[in-house]
Amino acid sequence: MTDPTQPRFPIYIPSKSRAHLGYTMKALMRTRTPFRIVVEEHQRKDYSDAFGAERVLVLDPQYIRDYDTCLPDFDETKSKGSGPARNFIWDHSVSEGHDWHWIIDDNIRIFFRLHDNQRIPVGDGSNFWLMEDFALRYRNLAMCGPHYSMFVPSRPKTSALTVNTRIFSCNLIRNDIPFRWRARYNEDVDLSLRILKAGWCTVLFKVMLADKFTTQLLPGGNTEAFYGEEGTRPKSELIVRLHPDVVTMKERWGRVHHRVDFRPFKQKLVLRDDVVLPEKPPLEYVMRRRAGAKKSRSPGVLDTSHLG
Amino acid sequence: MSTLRLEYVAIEDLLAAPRNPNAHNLPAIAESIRRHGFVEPVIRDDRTGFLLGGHGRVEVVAEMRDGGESPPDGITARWEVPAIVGWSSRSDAEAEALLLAMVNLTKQPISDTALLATMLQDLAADPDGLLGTGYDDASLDLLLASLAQDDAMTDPNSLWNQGGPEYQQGERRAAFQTMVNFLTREDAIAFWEQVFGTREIRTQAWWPEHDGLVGQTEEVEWIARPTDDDD
Repeated sequence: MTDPTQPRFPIYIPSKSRAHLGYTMKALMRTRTPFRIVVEEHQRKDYSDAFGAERVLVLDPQYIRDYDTCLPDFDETKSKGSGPARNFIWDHSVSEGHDWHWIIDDNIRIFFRLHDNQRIPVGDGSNFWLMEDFALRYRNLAMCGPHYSMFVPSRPKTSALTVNTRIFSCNLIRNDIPFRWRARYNEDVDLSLRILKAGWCTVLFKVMLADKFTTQLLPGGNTEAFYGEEGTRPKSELIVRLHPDVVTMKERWGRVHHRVDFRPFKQKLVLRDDVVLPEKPPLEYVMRRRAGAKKSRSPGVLDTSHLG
Repeated sequence: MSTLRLEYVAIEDLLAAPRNPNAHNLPAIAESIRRHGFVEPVIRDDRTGFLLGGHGRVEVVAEMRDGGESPPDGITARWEVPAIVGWSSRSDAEAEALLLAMVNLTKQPISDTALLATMLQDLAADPDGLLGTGYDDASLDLLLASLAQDDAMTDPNSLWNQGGPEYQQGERRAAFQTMVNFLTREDAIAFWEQVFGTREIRTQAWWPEHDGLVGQTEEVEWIARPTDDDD
């Protein structure tokens, strides 16, 4: 039995020029959840000073050189985005002998559990443990992760999860699937689609949520390199070119949008042979609210001390 | 109108298109060619000399030749492969459109997975029956297991509640959204003053507070700030 207040698998955060912000890092530090940050060599000191040298991994530059942007005429002087770091992370996790790994964007402010229309901040790493527990039940689940809080309404009809869709920003990835990240933009859509087209399943949790700053709002990262000069058209064009069978592009209200049709992916989750689902949630699943947390906006309103 | 012909063309003379978004499962293609031979001609654009279809097969055959293998069935002793020639694009855009059409129209997800499973099971009756099909015993096993799942495996709440902590979304604490459009900003301000007693209009993302737990209100944007015109 693993500690249900901690993730089983390693958490990695690729980051660039955001050592002064570090939202995800701070969110995880508050909940005492272990993680490591992957940065380029010239920013190692900034991140080490901010979050501790023991949490910082330096990206092997070979991963930048080898990265497939899927853009034949790509100007190598431009940023390739976070993809190289994502592939470095995948291989690093494999080299440490893990079966899965988490990769999380650096702009997550807080993690929630959604239940009875309440967004309850999670006070430890049990949200990761629960999603891992779900993932490990199935033979054909390759990637899963929490939805963005802002996209999940507090309504009776909101379901617990969505099967076979895009997983983004906070991804739990099975290490032995035959894929790696690629593309300069929309690499999460591309990876999700390649996984689904190969017959695997993905799961986007709504019972577990991540609250993030909006893309293109924070300085640093790839925001300035990508969107400041280029707009969103190249981003949409690339994903349409990579997956013309399920992605379409339209220009509406003066902006370019792309739409991904996930409806063709109807594969069902298949339980592992050795998994027996409990009739009632086991004790370690019971997430309780800590007494005296009324009106608090800080995380840590959940107490899992009763689990130990 | 162009007349199409089947010719045997040296693989060196079949150039890869400059842009091709399609990735190939090269080991599976190689296994198929070794079993079945080279049975499907590639397609070449006479105007450019670039391939329109068959990139993966040409790449595999080149690797087989460089690896010292004998030419498989369907390929000449001089490693010439069957190619459909005689079609010329009128522009690079037209060539890419046809390339993408062939990628798109031939790669639709399989719609009848039950029939697929039946056909694969029939083939799998022979020990080497699945060889070169792109499927193996493990993928057939997974497909059959997927088909055998009951409806609970497609219901999101059932999936989570089978072993997960309690999840329900009742009516009591639900948040509902009302969208109101006003003809003028003055109308909006008047409405806001009536309801909230203030001219400061904000859009808000919120969910309800209730006894003991967090209700969170976030300012998203001001929509009725005094403008320069107001000053």
